[in-house]
Amino acid sequence: MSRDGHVAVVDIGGEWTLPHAGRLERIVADVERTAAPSARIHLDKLQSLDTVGAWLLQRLIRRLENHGAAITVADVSPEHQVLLQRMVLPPARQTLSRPYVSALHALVERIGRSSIDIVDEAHELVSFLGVTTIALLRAVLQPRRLRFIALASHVERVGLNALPIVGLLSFLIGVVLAYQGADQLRAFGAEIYSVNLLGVSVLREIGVLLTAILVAGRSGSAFTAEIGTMKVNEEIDAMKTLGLDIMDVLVLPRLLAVVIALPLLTFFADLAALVGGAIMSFVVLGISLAQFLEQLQSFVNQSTFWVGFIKAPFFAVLIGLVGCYEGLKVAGGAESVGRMTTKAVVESIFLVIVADAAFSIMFSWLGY
Amino acid sequence: MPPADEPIIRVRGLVTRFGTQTVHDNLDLDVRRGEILALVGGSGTGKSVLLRTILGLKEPDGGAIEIFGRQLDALSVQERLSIQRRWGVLFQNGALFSSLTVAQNIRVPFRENTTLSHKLVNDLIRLKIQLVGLPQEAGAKFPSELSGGMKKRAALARALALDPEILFLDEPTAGLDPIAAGDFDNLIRDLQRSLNLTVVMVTHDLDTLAAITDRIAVLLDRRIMVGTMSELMALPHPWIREYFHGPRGRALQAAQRGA
Repeated sequence: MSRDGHVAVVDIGGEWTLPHAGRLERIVADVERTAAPSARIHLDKLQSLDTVGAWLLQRLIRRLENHGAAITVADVSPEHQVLLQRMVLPPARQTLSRPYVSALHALVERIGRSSIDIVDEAHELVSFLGVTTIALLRAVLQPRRLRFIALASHVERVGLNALPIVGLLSFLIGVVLAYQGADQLRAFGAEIYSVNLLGVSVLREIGVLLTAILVAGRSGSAFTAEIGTMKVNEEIDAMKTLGLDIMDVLVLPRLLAVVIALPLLTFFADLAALVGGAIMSFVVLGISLAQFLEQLQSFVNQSTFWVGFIKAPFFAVLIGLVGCYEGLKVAGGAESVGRMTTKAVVESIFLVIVADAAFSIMFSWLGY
Repeated sequence: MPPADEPIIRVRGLVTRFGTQTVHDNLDLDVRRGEILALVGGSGTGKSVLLRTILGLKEPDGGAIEIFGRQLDALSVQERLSIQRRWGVLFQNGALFSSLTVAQNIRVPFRENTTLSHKLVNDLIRLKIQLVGLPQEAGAKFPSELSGGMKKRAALARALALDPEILFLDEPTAGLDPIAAGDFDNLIRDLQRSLNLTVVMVTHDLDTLAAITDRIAVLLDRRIMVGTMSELMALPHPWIREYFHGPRGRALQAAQRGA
C-alpha cells in the first residue's frame, strides 16, 4: 500500500485463494483500517483468484465505500472481473440456522409429541392386529391365498437358522442358573434343590422369554428391515398396482412363521438349558444324571412346562406383528429403515416382557 | 503446476474387470484444462465405473490415472487428500447428508479442510447458495424439504465449496424436468466459465450434450472415442450412428437447424 497525494494506492498481488484465506483476511482488515478517503486498487499482480479471494476483495471495496471512500479498481483482467461481479450478496442476511427454540420449550414439546405418538402407535397396532386377523381368517377360508413356499422359507430363517444361537445361549443360562442356585443353597445344605430352582425358572420363564427376546432381535428386526427396504424401493407400491395383497404376500407368511417357529425354539431352548444345568450340577454338586432326572421329575410336572410353553405363540404374534407393522410404516429413505428397525426391536421386547408379566399375574390368579 | 496444454486428467491403459467380464480394456482418455467433457455410452459400458475409478473410489485392475500431473496410486494418503480437495463431485442423487441442513452440508468441507473464521465461512456458504441459484432461505432447510432440482443445486453448492478445479458430475440432469434440466445446464456452463472449471460429466441427455459440452467421450467396445459432437456424428460406428441419428438425435438436430 502506498500514497499518491490523498489517494491510497493498494496493490493486490499473489494468490488470493482458499489455502491463503486466513492471511488474506488479516491483510484486508489492515487495509480497511488505514485506507484514505479515496483509494485506488490495482489488481495487475494478481496471479490467481477464487471465490474466497474474490469475496474478500469485494467485501473490502464495499466496506470502504460505505465509509465514504471513493474507490477505483484498476487493471482487472476480464476473468477476474467476471468472478468479482458475482460476489454480491443481498444486504439483508438470511439466517442459515433453524429458528431457535428454548430448551424447556423443546423438552415440553418432545414429551408431548412422544406421548401422543405412543397412544397413536398403540391404536394403530391394535387396528393392524385387526386387519391381520381378517386376512388370516380369509386365508383359512381360502387356503390358496396362503403362500406356503414363502412360509416355509421364513420358518427356516426364523426357526432352523436360529437353533445354534438359541441352543448355545440357553445352555449357558442353564449352566449359570445351576451354579448360582447351588452356591446359595449350599449354605443350607440344600444343594439338591437347585435342580428344582433350575427346572421351574427355565421351564416357566427363562426358556420362553430368552427365546422370544432372541427372535425379536434376530427376526423381528429382519422383518422390519426387509419390508422397509421394499417400501423404500417402491416394491410395495408395485405389488399393490399388480393386485397383490400385502397382507397375504408379506405379513401372513412372516407372522405364521414366527408362530410356528417360536414354540419349537422354546422347546429346544428348555432342553438345552436343562442339559446345561444337569452338566453343571454334576460338575459342581456331583449330582448324577439319574439323581438329577429323579429330582426334576419329583418336582416339575407337565403343567410347569405348559405354563411356560403356552406363552410362546402369544409372544410370537407380538414379535411378528410389530416387525411387519414397523416395516410397513417406513417412509422416506434408508435412515427411516434403520430407525424403524430399532423401534421394532425395542417395542417387541417391551411388549413381550409386559405380556410375560400379565401371564404371571393371570397364572397366579388361576393358581398355577 | 503442469503447463497449461498438459491434460489435467490422463488415463492410460485402464483395465476394469468384474469377475470374468472385462468392462474397460486398455482405455485411454485425456481431459484438457477448462473444457466440459461428457462421457456417454450404452448401459453396462462402465461410464459410472470409469468416473469412480478416476475419483479413486475404485481401484483400477490395470493401467494408470494421472490427475494434475500426479499419479494417484503412487501418492501417500496425505497427498491424496490434498489432491482430492482440488475436485468436487456431484453424485447422481445429490448424496446430501440427510441429517444436516443445506447450509450445514456446505459447511462440512470447510470444517474438515480449512481454519477460516466462522463468519467468513457463513458468508461463503451464502455465496455458494446464491451461486447455484438457490434462494437464501434454502440454507436452513433439510434435503428432504427440497425438490429434486433444488437438491441437485444444493449438492452442487457443496461440491463447489472449496473452489475445486475439476467438477465431476454423474448424470446431473437425470430426474429433472426439461426446464429444470435446461436451467441446470446453463448454470453449469455459467459456473464453468466464471470459476474456470474443468467439468467431466456422465450424461445421457442429448440436449445437455449439444448445449454445453466441448467434447464427448463415447465408451465403445471397452475403449473410448473422443471428439466434438459434429466429429462424432460423422463417424460410421453403428452405435454412434444410432445414438446421434436415432429419433431423439434427429429431433434435436432439426430443432438446432430451425433455431
